[in-house]
Amino acid sequence: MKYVVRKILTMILTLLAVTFFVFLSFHVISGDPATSMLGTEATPQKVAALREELGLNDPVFVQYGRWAAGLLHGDMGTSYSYRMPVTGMVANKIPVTITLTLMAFVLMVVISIPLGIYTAKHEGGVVDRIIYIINQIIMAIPPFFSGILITLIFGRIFKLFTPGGYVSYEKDFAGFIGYLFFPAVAIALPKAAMAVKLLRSSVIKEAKLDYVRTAYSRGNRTNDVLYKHVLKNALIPVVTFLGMALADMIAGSIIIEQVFSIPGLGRILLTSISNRDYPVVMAVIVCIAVLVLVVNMAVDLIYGLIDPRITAE
Amino acid sequence: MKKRSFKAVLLLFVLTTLTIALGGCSGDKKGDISSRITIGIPQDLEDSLDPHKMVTAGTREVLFNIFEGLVKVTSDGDFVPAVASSYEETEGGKVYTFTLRDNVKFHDGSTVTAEDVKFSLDKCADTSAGEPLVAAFSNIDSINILDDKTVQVVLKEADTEFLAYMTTAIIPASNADPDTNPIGTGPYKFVSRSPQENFVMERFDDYWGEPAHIKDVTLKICANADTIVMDLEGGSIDMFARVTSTQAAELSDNFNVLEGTMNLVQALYLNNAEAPFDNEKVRQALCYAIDPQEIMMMVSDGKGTEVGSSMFPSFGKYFMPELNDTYNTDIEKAKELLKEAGFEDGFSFTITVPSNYQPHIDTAQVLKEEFKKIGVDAQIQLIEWDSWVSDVYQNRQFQSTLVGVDASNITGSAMLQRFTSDNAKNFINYSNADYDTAFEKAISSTNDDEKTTYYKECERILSETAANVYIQDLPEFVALNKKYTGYEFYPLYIQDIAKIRLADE
Repeated sequence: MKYVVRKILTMILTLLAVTFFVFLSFHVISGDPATSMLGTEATPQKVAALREELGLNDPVFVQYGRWAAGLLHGDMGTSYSYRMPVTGMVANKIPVTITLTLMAFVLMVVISIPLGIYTAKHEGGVVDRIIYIINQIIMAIPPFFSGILITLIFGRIFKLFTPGGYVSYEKDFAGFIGYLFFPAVAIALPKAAMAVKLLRSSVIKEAKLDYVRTAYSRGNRTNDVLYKHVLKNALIPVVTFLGMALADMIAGSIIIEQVFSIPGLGRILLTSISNRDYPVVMAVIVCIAVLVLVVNMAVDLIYGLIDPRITAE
Repeated sequence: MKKRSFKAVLLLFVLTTLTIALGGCSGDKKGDISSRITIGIPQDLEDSLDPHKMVTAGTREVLFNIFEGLVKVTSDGDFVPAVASSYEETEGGKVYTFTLRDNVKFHDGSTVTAEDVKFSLDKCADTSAGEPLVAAFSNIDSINILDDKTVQVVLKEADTEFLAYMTTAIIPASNADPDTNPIGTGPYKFVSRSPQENFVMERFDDYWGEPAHIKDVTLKICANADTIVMDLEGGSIDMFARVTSTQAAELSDNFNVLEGTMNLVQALYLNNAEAPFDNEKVRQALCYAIDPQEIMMMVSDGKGTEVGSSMFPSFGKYFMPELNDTYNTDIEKAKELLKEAGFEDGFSFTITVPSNYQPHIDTAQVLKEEFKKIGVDAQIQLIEWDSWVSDVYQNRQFQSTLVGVDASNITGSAMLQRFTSDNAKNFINYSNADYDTAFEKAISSTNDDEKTTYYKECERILSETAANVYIQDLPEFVALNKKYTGYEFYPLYIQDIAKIRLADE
């Protein structure tokens, strides 16, 4: 329990630090929300008046404090561009990004674990070599490009899905999952390729250890040894990787959302930065940071489950 | 975990996922098209939905369908009565009297009253926060309700072009939330929006005029230029205005590509207050160096219309095609002028281009090559749109910039006013006494022919003093699925969705 409490405290501190630095960065880049809102109608007087109205002339700490206080009350402010409450704007995009990332993660696990084990068992075989080459190719292709390729091949040629035809989860849940399938593949592939490599080398290394030889010489069957003993130990570095990969996938989904026209957190983050719509940017960053931190915490907890050696002091 | 059960679970999971995925996989396909259309737009309406406060052209062109003023613009550039049924201009353009049309309804069901008209106009003329929301309204002396069907606008100084500003939207005085809840009198009413996803409108059945053809309109935000063709072909959008000529060429026979003009003046705008562009000879040299035909060939396959001053062809009566010949391409003359100005060995300067406008980026690159011929080295600097608005447009921190400037209404002054010496929007720092005089004469003139003559004089001065290096009015390509027809081009940034209808109606 103390372990969990400490982790949560660390999480909160990290969140504060991240959001503060993001907040600070707004004051360094050129362009400001008032000018952005007024566009080509901007005149120095109008801009000054608007800045005063939005409270932009206060010192950085005061503005940050105001925002943080609002956040604790569940109020993420009002969007400068849309004039709508930010909470409403962002809330219905979170499930989209979470679903996309989760689907990608599941696909990654489903592809990489069986493949990793298989290629480790048949090390040096034909299949192993072919998978190795395919892996290298996939790892070299950036997700953006593989997204476009997938759209071309499965969307336009095989017509398995309609490019740009995103279905909202509120309208049709099955269609929603269906549309997200290919984007999830695009995100999952490069990570799956890396996971296969990692698992394969981890299993091979583990299988050469003494206790494994002992187990064989005691008469245990190969497969039993593999799954009951070797795999559990070999999975530890892979779990670390999966944790990092999941965090990375949240970032990757931002790029993929552009290719597949998915209205998740990614798109609104990019346009809000462009428009200097700070309240929205802060809200999205908080969401993403929380997701990543929660994932990392989950990974730490899973360690405790897999390996009894890793327990908190 | 037992090996066998682990494998079984895994297999079951994979099969389930695949089934769901491939089953639901088709995406949002076209169902019954009988009365809906999905139009792609390149960016969201990241603006207030209050028609008096919106600033981006993208917002304006969509909200045209939701709001109307006392008069309305037609695709020919004329004005027709809208919320007003008739109007009268008296005292040489100093007094405008409008008779309200009977029974015009707002989208919330209430009827438009003279109070609503006065409310809307007063709001735009209000100077308590500095400048009025509609700049031209600073000329309004008073807005009077003569009776519940008549509203009169009295100006401080006569202005025969003032009617053009009466396209200002009429909104209900009772709407407490105009920023996010747009209520107007137009053929379409606002239904809902999801930021960065879509903007949904529906036909307003109580519209006073000819009702719109298509009932459900969804504006889908297509943020990624690379996927527009795929989205069109795949059927998730039926129309996209402003595709590039490359994208137009990629479209199949399922689409009509309609060609119009963008209605803007694309030019290399020069900061007249900064060296070397404070020297007229240098500016003229650059004008002689460029070849607009070559630019149009490279940037848009030869389409586009050359312009010689700050006016584009759709403003029929003001446009002067002869100004295109003020500076015919003449490399020798250009070099001579540079020599006279003291730059015999050429010079180096920066062209700032907003990074979100591909045609301007392409044009800048052609210019760079053309300027090399006269020994001038142009460095292209790409900046974000917001940085452009604050650094270039507001703070005037630039040497030259390549953009397109459009007009927000159909008046001569819309394009020309900014070049008067003390105008707040004079971002090129142009200052010419003859120009100021000519412009002053233009706006104070109440005779239409005389006005036109003075406006043309202004254009001539801009051209002869080479205020900017004028290039073209860009072509606009609208991709429309052949299932639909009826698209009309306007001389302003407008998308008139009410006119679009199914092709087999």
